[in-house]
Amino acid sequence: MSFLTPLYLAGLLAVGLPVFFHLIRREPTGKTPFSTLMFLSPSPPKLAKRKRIENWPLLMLRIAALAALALAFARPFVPQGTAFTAATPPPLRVALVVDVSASMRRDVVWERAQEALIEEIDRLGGGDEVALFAFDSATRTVVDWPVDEGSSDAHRLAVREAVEALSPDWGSTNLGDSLVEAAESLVARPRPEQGVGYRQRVVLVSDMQRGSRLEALQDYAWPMDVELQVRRVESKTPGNASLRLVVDEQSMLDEDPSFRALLAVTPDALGFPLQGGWLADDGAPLEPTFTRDMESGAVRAVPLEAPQPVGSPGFYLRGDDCDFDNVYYQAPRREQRLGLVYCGPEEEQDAAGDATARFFATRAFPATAHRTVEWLNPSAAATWDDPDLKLAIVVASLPNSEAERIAQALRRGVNVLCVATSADMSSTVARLSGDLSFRVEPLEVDDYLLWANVDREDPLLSPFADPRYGDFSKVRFWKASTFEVGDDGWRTLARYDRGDVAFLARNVERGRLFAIGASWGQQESQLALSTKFVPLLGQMTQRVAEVATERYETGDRLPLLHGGRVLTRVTDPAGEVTVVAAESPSYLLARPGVYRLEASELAWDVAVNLPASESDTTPLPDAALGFVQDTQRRRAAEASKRLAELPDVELEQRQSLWQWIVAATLVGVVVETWLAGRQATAVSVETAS
Amino acid sequence: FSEHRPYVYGDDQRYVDWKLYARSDRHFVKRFEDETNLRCYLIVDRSRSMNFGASSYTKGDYAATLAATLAMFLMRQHDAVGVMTFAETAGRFIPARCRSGQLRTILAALESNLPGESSDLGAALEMAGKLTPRRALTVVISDLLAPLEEVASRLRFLVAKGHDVAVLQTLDRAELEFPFNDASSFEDLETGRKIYVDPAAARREYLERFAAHQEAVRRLCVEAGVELTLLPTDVPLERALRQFVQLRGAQRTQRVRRERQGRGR
Repeated sequence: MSFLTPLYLAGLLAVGLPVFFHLIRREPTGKTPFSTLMFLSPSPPKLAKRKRIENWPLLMLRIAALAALALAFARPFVPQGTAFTAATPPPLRVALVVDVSASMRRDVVWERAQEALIEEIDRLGGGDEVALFAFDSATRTVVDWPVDEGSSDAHRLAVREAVEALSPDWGSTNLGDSLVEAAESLVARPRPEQGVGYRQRVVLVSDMQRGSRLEALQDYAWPMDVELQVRRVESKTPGNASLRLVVDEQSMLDEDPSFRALLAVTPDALGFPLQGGWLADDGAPLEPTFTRDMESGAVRAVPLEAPQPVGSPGFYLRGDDCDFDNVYYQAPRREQRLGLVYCGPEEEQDAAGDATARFFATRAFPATAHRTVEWLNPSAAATWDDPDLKLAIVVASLPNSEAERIAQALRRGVNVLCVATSADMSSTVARLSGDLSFRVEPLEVDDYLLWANVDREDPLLSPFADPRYGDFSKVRFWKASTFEVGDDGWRTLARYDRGDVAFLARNVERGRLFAIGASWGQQESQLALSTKFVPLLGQMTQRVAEVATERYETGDRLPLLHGGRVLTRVTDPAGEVTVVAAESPSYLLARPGVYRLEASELAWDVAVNLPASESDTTPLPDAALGFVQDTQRRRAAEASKRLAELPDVELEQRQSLWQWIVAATLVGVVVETWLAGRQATAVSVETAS
Repeated sequence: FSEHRPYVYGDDQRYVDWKLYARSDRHFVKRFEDETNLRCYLIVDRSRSMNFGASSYTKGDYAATLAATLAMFLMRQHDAVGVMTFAETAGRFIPARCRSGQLRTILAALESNLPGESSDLGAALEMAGKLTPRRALTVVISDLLAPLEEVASRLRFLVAKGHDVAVLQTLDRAELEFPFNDASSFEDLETGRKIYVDPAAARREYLERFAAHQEAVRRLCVEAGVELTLLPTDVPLERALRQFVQLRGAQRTQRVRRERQGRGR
């Protein structure tokens, strides 16, 4: 006799254990939950007096029932001299998953990947199936599974041609998601109704760099019958250097901020002598601005003395052997025109010869290498339609018609600063803001007032959040007013030390309205003479609708709505223009470089760079996907064992001896129950008598 | 230093900026980052070992009540309080804030149980270090009945980042004294493992090993520069809190005295 699942015969040993424990053990009667067993060791059980077995037939009946159950589970059968023939291995289904992220652009890596894929395709047999998937930050199907079972020659040829036509993209490496999608695609594939079906395998071809994302595999229960093979491709020379530009904190308030170059070398490199410099506006490298020897694994921040030249699209690095990530793009400083309006007295000196507010305001916006400043005529109608108009400073009460014109510009996105120092400014501010209860109330000032309780969380005052820049206690106000507001659409930006409101802001559709209770002329306050004046006015030229960030990574999708404006055209770094359809939700930033975006009359640049993770080309250790492969090896061994047992399985299924054994066990249990009951009755009759 | 604030009657005159007064004839007090926005993070152990309690409430109930009480007192002083619960992995993390609804959110987080078979305090402290970039008062409430290898380095890391760390070790009286008499099957609440234990034979070894573990905890805290307070769950909460506050005050005084002596040399 043979057994299909002989391990269950170990249950026969367990039959003796109840007898053993019955004779020798003293069962612990209770259970005590405790927080931890860290400090406890098991105590040995104490021996009790030996007990005698009184009812041998009942005990033997019970033992026989348990033994029969163990035998039934072992699935006995009588071999009939059939010799085992190894079944032909079933056909194979292979999902080829190839990495087309940016790191695959290194020297010979892509060629080696293509060779590995062709090798896998050439190994396939006639009945095998294959599909091709490619991934970087997202996975796509390049060649889907064949419609009929088994891959024809034409299908395999199509896969081969697709491999030859493929090339790496610029995205990051979402390795986990790609393996999950490939495995799910195999599992979803229909299986044949008869026979054992296909062997299923995912073959991954990748450089397995450390910047790959694997988190999708952590939560995923890898299918038991899908094998994973990894074909790792390596570059000729190990190691990579990369760079990113960050704005120098010290220059954050400057019109032309300076940068630091963050250099990093991977730990598997030997070290590189690196040079870096700005690119010219045509992309050609300019003279290097630094030379630095970097050792393996080093990270350094190098300050760049030279500012970004006008029109330069970014910064280059050279010295390592992988140049796919050696340019960091930065939105070029284009020539800008800043339009400003001053609505108030023209004089720059008052009767006493002191400088007026106009004197200081017109000097608070210096022209720079990339910006021209133009003070526009407030009386000209074209001024208020000028797309470069950013700020209007109103220091005198205006007639209704002029105020209405300024209000329209405010709603379109022009910021307005009202210097409301007298009660007659109330109506102007009320008309601009829509708060008809707004009142300006001049204050009696004995000596001077100071600003206290400055709201540094507001975007206007956020540059002053750092305590180094945020001390307003040196600015004295000799003439000042406060405000009474009629609704809660105002935000208080500062109060005087007496508690009165000194500075307010309000969003009006796309623009922002500021009301300040003190002027900055030489006779009114020290504001214009303080270090806060220029950055404060400069911040007011930022529009509410300004694009929040200019930095993106490849694979990001650009939303088509920016501050109420809809993107209409995009020019990519290669110069290709895309007219954006109104129904598209977003625009894919597929390659690194500088993109020019247009939305009605507004145009601006955004820089798109490779994700930093792609520059970390250090190879992942072999064990990175080991937890998946270990499961597979175990299952593969079980599957081949199952294949070998197929003829025995059929024989056992035909004989079905286990059913007779179970039936006999049930009869035995019934007899045991009757016998035990009968003996219990005999004992109670004996006791009663 | 963070900013100036106009002086109001009752402010501590030690913080009046006299130079500014000389310049401006006005009284302003200096405000510092710790005063303007003290941040406190409560890292609370919610693993299964905290479900043990020989009395009518468990260590977990005691720890949660303690954490909730601390949070309420701190928020009354307009300090920002956050909470992280942990078991085998870090559970819920609530960033430190001082706004309406924050206390309710904290109470909800303290009520929920977490899955997991063990406590990994090291991982929780590592996560706390990553999620709290700015200095804060960090109070760890746990029974510390877990391997301590990773805990020391993580505590030192938090202290090096400028956090003021205090550890409140909540233990049941039964864990401290092992008062059991009857032999039975003892079950580990975290792992479910059971062993047969005869308390009469095992008590001495238990107390020795427990004392060694407590000594290791004490040494670990001293080396990391962290305050450790043992809070048996049969000590009333108000006494426990008073003891904690007094200990912090005494240790701060000692630290300031040592710093002054160092400067005087």
